[in-house]
Amino acid sequence: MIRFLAKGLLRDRSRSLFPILVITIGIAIVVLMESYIAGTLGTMYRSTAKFTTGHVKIQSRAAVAENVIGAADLSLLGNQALLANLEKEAPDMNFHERIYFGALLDVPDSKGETRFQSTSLITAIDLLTERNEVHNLNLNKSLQEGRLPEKANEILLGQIFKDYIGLDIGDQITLIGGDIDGGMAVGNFTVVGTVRFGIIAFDRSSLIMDVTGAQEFLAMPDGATDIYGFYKDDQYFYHRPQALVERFNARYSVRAEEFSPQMRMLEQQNQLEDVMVIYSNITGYINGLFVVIMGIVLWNTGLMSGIRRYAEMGVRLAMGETKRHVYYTLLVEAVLVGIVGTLIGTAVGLVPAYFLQEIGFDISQMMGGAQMSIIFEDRIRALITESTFTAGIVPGILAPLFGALISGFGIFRRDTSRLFVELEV
Amino acid sequence: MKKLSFVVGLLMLAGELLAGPTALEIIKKMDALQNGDNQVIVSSMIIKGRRTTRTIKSKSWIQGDEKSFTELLAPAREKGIKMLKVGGKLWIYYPRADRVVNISGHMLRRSVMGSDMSYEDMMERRSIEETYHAVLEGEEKIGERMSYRILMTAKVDDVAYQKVKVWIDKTRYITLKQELYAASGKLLKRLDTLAVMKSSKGWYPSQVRFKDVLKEGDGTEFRVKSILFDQKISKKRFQKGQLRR
Repeated sequence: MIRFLAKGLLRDRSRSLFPILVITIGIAIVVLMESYIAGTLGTMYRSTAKFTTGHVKIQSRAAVAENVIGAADLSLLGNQALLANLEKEAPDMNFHERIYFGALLDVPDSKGETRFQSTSLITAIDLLTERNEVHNLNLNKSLQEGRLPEKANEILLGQIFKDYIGLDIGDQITLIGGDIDGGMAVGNFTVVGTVRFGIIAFDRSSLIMDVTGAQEFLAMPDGATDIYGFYKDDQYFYHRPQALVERFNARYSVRAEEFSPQMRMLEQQNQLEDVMVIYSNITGYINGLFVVIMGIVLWNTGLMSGIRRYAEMGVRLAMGETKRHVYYTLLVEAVLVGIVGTLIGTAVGLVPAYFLQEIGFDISQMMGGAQMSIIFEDRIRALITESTFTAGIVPGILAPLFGALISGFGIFRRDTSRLFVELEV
Repeated sequence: MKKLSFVVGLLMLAGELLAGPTALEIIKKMDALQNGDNQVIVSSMIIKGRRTTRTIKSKSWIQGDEKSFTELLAPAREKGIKMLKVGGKLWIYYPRADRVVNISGHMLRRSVMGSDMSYEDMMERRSIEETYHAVLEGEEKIGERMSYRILMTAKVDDVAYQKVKVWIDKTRYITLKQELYAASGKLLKRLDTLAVMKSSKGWYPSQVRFKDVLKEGDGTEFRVKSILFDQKISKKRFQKGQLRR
């Protein structure tokens, strides 16, 4: 029966070509839209994760409880053993020590006395080992002048900060802060390059150094304020690391020990849970609304196809085919058309979605010619997920089916004699 | 008439004597006993942090309210750091970086070596008479000692604390307790004298706990090992060149 109907559709292109074409275009748009929205969410997760939260972040219980960033005296110590364990316990992730802290940046004059002074925010990451985070923070692309640090006492300054201070590449600065015990931390560092963070507050006051330089400066050779964890596939979705977080905290985090480690996933930090739920809902509504609109268009196509074939139906009824059978074949045909249109539409939509995922769309010109920064990306990217493949099913198959269901009611409302007259058979 | 004037004069004098000293007089007397022309102090600062307790030993040369020079003697990480205060300026020499750094502006509000004391606390050089209205509020027993309770309210805007309450020992003229408040009335820091010692001028607080109440931890304790008044201090001691020596 289905074979017979499929042959009929293939041979009578007036019954199949236009509906399949409309469904293909509609579903291709739905697929592209779905992957684009998933990509936007992914970009948001990536930007937040790479600089602020990681996919998971480990801090001391005291740092979590006091909600402080960059308090050296609340750092985690003995991290090498912890990192070795984490590698075994979460093989799908990479973990990195990071140190965020504040210090007084002092620039000497020719006599070695203060010429300029400012508070500075320091991000210390692994820059020198094989497991470095250069790629994580887009440092190669964000570099504005000079080169990346090659030694522990070399630093990168925010471009605006460097210009404001009036420094040249190769100049020396002194950092003065408090070490892990609250003691005086003092060190000289050489400016070897500048970077663009992408947020004016960071560009004006931030610098980047290697984590070993910061550990030496803060007198904590095996310590860090944070340990960031990232999935190797770079993909994050809501509550993905929940099982890991629960397992880790049950094993390592001791309520009575304020310096024991505590792991939190992305949405557990900085009140991001609410932001993510709201953002996710909004994008879901947008996606849903688009699907509904496409559904109406495709339903209308189904409706039109049904109505357009009233003459054929009249003949079939006159030849003795039951109304129920005519209606049934109409529905099966609609489903066949829907399946074919959805398959082709999904395939067509995946092409630009894949392009957007892999290459992205350069928006730097729209952003006033801004280049890649550490925090923000200069490309819009899509993300193809499982739901990209299934997004077209509801509008692509159900909508034409509903169209056929409604238009087919006409068959039951008409007498055979009236159909003859009406359909001019 | 002459007799009457004499009696009135006598009564006024007796009244003044019975009224006791004013707040300002008490503060001036305390200042005179605790600060000579100059002082040389060897002391320890015990900083009780959340992870560790550190002891920083230092030697200070202090000339009046305007000049002071401090050299840190221990621990190893801080040994050799020197601080020079001249008037409203403060320079610190860091031997590890071989740098002389000027501490000014908002940097003065930062903690000294992780202690509960800020550079600003070290820097105030104007007399209390210049900066505060002092009122004797009454007498109060602090521990076993009777004390004058004095309330000081800032006359000027640029002082670190807008209101200060101080309890001064009635007989030894040393501070027993002090509370430092913000303009809003919020208590910011507290000082308690834990022990006293005899100096060549009288009594001197030898062990003092200074607590920033907004900060975690048990506060910072200052212990004076020795204090010498009115010593011969070379003028060179308070020159910047001395920092790198």
